[in-house]
Amino acid sequence: MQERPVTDPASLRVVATRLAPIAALLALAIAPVAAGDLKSLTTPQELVLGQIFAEQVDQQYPLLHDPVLTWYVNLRGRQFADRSPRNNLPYFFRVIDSPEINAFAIPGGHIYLNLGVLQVADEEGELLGILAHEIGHIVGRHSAKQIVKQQWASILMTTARGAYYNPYADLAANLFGELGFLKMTRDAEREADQIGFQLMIDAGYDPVYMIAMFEKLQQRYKEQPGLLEKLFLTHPPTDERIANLKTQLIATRPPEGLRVTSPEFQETRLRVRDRYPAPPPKGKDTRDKDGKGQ
Amino acid sequence: MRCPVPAHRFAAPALVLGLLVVSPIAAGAQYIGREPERLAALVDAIPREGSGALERSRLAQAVALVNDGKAANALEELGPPNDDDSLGVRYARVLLRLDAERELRLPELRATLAGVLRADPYFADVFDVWMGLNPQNKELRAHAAALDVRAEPEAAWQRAEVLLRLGDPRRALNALTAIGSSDAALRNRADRTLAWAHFQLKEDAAGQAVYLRLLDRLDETTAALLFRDIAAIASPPERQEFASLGTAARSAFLRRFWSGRHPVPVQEGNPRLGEHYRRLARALAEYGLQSNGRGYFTDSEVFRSLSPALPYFDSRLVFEEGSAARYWLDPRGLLLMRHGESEVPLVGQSVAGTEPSQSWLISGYRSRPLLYHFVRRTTVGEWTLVLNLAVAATRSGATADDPERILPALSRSVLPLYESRFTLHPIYQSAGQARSPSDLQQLLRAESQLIAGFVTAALTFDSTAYYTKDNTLPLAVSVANFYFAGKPAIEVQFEADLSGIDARRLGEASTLVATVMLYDRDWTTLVQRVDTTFPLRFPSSKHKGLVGSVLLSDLEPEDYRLTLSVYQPDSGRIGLARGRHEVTYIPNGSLGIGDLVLLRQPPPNEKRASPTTDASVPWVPAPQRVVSDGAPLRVEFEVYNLQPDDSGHVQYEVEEFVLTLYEEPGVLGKLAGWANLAGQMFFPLYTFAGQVGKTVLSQATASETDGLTVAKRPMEDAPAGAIAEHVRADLESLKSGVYTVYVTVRDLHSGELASRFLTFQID
Repeated sequence: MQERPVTDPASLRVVATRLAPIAALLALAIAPVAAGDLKSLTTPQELVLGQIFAEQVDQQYPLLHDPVLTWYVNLRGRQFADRSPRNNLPYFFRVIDSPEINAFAIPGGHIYLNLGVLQVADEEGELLGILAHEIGHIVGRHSAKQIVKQQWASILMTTARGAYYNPYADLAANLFGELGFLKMTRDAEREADQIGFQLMIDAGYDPVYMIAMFEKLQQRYKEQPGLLEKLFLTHPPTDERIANLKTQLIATRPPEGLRVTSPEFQETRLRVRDRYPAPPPKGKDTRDKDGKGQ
Repeated sequence: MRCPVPAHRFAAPALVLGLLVVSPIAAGAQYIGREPERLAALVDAIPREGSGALERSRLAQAVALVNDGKAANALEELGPPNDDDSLGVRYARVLLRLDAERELRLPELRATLAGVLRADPYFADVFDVWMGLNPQNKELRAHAAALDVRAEPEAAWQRAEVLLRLGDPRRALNALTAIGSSDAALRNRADRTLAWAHFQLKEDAAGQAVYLRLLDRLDETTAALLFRDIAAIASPPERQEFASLGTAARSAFLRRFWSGRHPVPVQEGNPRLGEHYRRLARALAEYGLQSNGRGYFTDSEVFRSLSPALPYFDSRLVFEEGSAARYWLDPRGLLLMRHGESEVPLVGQSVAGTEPSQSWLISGYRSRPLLYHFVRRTTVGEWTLVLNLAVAATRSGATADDPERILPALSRSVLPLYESRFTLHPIYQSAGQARSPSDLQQLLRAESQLIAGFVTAALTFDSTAYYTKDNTLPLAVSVANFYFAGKPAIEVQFEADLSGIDARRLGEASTLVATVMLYDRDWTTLVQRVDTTFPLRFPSSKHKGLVGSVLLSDLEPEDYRLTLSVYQPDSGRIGLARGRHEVTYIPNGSLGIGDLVLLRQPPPNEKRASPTTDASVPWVPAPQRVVSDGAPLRVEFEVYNLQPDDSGHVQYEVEEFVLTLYEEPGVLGKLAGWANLAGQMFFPLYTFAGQVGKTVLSQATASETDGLTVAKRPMEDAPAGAIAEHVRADLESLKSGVYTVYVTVRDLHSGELASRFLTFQID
């Protein structure tokens, strides 16, 4: 069968006829975007989405309902968040019952910390370094920006398909699909590090422990890659990031006498050790490349 | 002479006939050929380690020899049968020997068969099957028939035992009548079996006569057997007594034992004796333990450690001497032995992810009927007793039963049962006071629906996602944290839908009884139980939801599990909810706020100290938290551990804003949605335009500010050295939609922050 050349006027007519409705839909789709709906998320929009996503996270992840740990991470988290440029958000911190060392932030001030982070932190500064970094993502509106990008893609895709569009369904699917917007860009990570570093100082904690934590995680990754797999997929503590933080440390010159730990942290740490001891390190990690245990 | 029919015309029928003749032979040959393989498989089943190892190697060698056509050598290798062999070894040996003998036609065959049949009556059945399977065994069958070993006394008794267990007492009786052994021990054993067979056939008089005759000439072995028969119903003192007695005294003990259990002592025949053996036979057949009892029914502690899935099991409920007994029956079997058969066995269907349940109602000749609930243990497949319906529901499956099945012949005798068990379940109390069979039947229907409701609902929910539990009294439940007298407390708030209840008929004296049971996170320890009675009031003729709350104080900050049952005695309606709740931790000196509580109208007593102390306040509980459009709405909460300044005053800032999660789009929005073929495409975007109404209510040291009311809590209620205040803020009249109210409190002296949020819907 001979193909009709694309320059054939008949072909062009067919193409134009078929594309017309799509173009019309696209234009209609873009109209509200252009009007400002999707350029960026406003704070209320972020809060709404944050709450919807938080409900999903709460359902899909095993939350650790320990009143003391919940109290502690909210106490410190809110102290840090209150000193951030986005202190107008209500922040909520939750602990996930998982020995994996990971943390993530979703829009609207919801931050999740795995129990593994509490288990691995020897000093309060180490733990707060992770917490501050996640607040940095909220302050930088990183996940909100990811959402807008995904919304654009989603709208274009669904418009081209002529299908109905439900941004919640798509976003919810992407939230956990291949780590979705939990996986930040390198720039976003760098910015979250910078914000977190400054928050550490503003809250009166020595930021050196943030760097120490990153170095510790790098070392742990070599010993137990399974426990840090998701962390390294979403925001790997690379040499570059550590180097950047060290540069920031030299440039900032934090004041003397910053805190390293607190009685509240010691109380929490004791509870973690008593009730949720870390799994014993294995000599050899038995996970395969897909992260599935044998 | 030529055949008129061509030869080739014979070819096809001849071929078919040939095949018909040859094929069974070929099949038989194949079967015979497979025999050594089957034997090899049997040998394979014998453990390689331990005492069977030697036997295994000898048998394997014998199989190899048979395969090599050296059957005589195989027999030599096997040696004579040994009664100490394990069952597998024994069967393998015998089958192998038969194989060898069949080939050699040795006269030993007869002796072999006789020995085996005598030693192991169960083998007779295996042998029968085996003989039937193999057409080549006609000769052996003839040999076996000629042996007539089953007529020998020992073999006959064993055969009778087997038949009894197979549920064929008549044949067992026939096998036993031929016994005329001079062996006294064998005669005694046979008499025990004979009595049992009579009882099975409901020939109680004959059975009892045999039993008493047996007691006259009791030997040690038979006494032990007879006591094993009654172990499940003997009391601990009786056990001890029996163990300390000599054989002669044991005979007297057994007589006394049964006379003490004679329901009508003036009559000669003891119906309990025959009934006991019938129950024993049934229990062995239907409720035997599959696990050999190892680890499961020793005592409650052991059970808990081995079976965290069903923590409330306590065998002492059924069988108080617990660990002293040898458990070869599951709790249903033990109950059957003790109390008889359930007249009303309610068998629940298994639904996805759950195990089936059973409920037994037993009245029999006892003055007080009994009701028990069982569930099948997950993964083990054995049934176990559970304390109450709530526990049963955690792991059981059930569907609502037809009330006609519950009490086919409704009897008033079940009423004392319910009267005695009301502490476990309010519905029992109501049943105990039922005035008519139809009332009782209605209550039993409610109970069966209750079980079904438990099971069919999802089992996981938390304090923010409670759910209604059954269709007899729908409930909405929420749990609020607060602090009371320096210790965490919770208030279980509920709204019961009474729309199906006729208030006019019930009258003013009617009540609603709410019971909250708080457990630890493993459902193993009851931490607190509170029963509260509420007057039955309907807020309005339109709204039939009765709101109440139950307070549990002096708690530790932990992750708890709880059940709430709400019961309306007059109508028999009951609603249940279960869930988990995390009691928040607010250490001394650290700023905290209690859970937000939504009120849809001003409480009757504006001066009350706390909404949590007044059950009459119309809460708006989760998960509905649905408020009618235009109704006044306020949110209340308490603030703890505010730091006072030098003059003793506290200063704090309350920031409260309402976020619209969903708002009905306006006409223009809808038109826009329709116009671009993407009504659904853009419809959700309107929810993005969430409104934020933010109110900063600062400097709340006064008792009244705009939109914010502060009531100081009595200091004795507050944690030591800290100040707690009760705050309420009116929410503006909101349109239909879903909202979240966020409250953040900042202590202006300490700089600490605390936040809470609550989602609700306005219809």
